Amino acid sequence: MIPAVQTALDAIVNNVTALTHAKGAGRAYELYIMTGIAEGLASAGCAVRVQRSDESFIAPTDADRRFIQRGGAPAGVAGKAQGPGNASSFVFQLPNSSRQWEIWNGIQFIGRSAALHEIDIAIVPREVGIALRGLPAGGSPTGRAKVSIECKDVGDPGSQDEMRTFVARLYDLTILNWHRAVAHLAHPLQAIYPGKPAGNGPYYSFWDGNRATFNVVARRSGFRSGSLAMTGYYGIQPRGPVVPGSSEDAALVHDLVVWIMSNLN
Amino acid sequence: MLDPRLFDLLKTLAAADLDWLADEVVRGILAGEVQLETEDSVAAARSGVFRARQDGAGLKASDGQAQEALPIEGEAQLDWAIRHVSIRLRDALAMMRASADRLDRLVDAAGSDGGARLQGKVGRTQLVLSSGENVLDEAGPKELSAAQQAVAELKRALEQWRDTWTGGGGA
Repeated sequence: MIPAVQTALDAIVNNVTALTHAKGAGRAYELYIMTGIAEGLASAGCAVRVQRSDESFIAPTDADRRFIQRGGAPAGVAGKAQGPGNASSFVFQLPNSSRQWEIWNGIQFIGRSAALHEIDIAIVPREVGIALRGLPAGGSPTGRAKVSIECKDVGDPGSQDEMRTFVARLYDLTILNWHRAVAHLAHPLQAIYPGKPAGNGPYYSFWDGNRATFNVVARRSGFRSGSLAMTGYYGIQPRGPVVPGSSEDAALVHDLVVWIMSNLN
Repeated sequence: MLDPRLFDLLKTLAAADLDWLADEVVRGILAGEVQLETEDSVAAARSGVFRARQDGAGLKASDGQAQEALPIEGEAQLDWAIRHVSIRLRDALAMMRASADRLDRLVDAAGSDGGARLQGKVGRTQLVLSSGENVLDEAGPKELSAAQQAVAELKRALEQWRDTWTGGGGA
């Protein structure tokens, strides 16, 4: 043991216990990116609200301003009847548009195979969130988010396997026109459900779905040489190093906000 | 091979319940110095993601194999470890602080009750990590500031520890 180092570490973790949890630093990274997007949207003129899990908004005059992230096992969206103590999210609305969208953190989505896939940051039509929170115990959406961001806070600089994993996850979440024959999907087919958001038809192809959505692998520590081979073809945007003050951090928020303003109105 | 002088640091990290950080130190050092893609090549890789046509123009066969890493040996392992530990915790706390400040700005902007803010009648954002049943942590501006101040102490303590092995000649 190194006493002076131990004293300093204790002062850190006794104040911010989250750092001692396996998901603590990773959730901090996800929240940093998520709040950057929310603030970028607000700067672009969107109405942005912070939403508790019971569907109430945090008001400027509220003494209780707790923003809650899940640190345990991955889960779906909590039911609003379960109260305000589950994961918080953002709701935003573009100027001159009546449509609302939600930004989620660490929610499990259901794929065509019925496998569950955790998406670190997802943007979905608000109708999906309302429908899930209306269930007594909440639930997971089936299908693909309009924006999917995989956040890699880990120390190592990744590999091509990381891209393969993300591509496979998105493939399972992409509902296509010809999946009419897949009995366990909801019919008529939708890109994501429950809820009945506008413009939510299934995709023509995986290629088409990858280009009708915004998909990112964001890394704190950059990308190992040789790990980008699959990105362009499958529409996965590598972003990194995304850390406070980096040009990649600013570019991610800028590019995503521009895409949202053009594609989610 | 891991330098045995690191063991004290790894035990100290584990004793502070930062075993994930000890694990990153071990894995990072054993992985060696790997070559990273440049910012230009990362930007170039995403330049084609929205192209409309599905064709193979410009694509080259690639097995995604990285160039071989350079080993980190001897005292360089101590330097790598103290740099990683201090930067990792500094950045995590900076991101939490930035997030809390952004959340406050977003909530404040959703109303016009600036008077309540000035009178200190409203709260500040608390970042909560929850298991679903239990609150694992709740940190606000006071806790984050205290932890950030301790990072400077940590960096000094790590450098002193390294100097006991290297005679002050570390990077």
